[in-house]
Amino acid sequence: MIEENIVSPTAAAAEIVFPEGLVGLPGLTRHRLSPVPDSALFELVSNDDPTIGFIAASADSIKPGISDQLRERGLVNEGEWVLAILAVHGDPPLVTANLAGPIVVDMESATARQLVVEDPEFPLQAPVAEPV
Amino acid sequence: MLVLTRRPGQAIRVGPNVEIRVVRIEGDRVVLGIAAPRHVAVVRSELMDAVSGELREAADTRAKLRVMLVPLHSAPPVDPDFSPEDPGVA
Repeated sequence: MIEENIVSPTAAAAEIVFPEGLVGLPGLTRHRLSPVPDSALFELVSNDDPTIGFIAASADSIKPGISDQLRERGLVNEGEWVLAILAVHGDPPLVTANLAGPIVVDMESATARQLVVEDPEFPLQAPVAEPV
Repeated sequence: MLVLTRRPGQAIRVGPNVEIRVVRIEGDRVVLGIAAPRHVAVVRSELMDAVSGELREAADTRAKLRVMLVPLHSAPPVDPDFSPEDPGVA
């Protein structure tokens, strides 16, 4: 279940730059991150190609402590937020969170990057328990 | 592409801070040891491809996800024509 008491990285929409783009989408560097109203979710939409966007949740709401784990590995700095991109797979549809490729956001500099974590504890399709 | 031949125990360097060493060879598999700074991502190529594919899947299923998830958190839509005095509304 996605906890709603996780502190939001942003209470309002923010323009975020991914200097290196996203994995497989290196040309998409400018994005808009906005909270989905009345939810614990966020929407990340490319300003370079508005047809490409994602729904995301705080990674800690999917797997508590995950951002601390990444900090301990030196992959996330203090003050940075970790988001997990959500997707739908299968029939019946199952919501999954991409913990292998988390998004790290630094709101202070309005920049972000996508990590790729080589560790089975960070699955590509972590099931998100219902209800979300 | 630069192609080098190495034996077990031998290494190559990529830039000043990354070393890739052939640890051993097991049949058709080569076991590599990689020493790199923490900020340098070292991952299998197929994982990069999988993360990229998952990202595209997430983009493709964004609309479905919104339909599945957002109504659970949002207030019901307000009918602009609604009126408490509307006899059509019980």
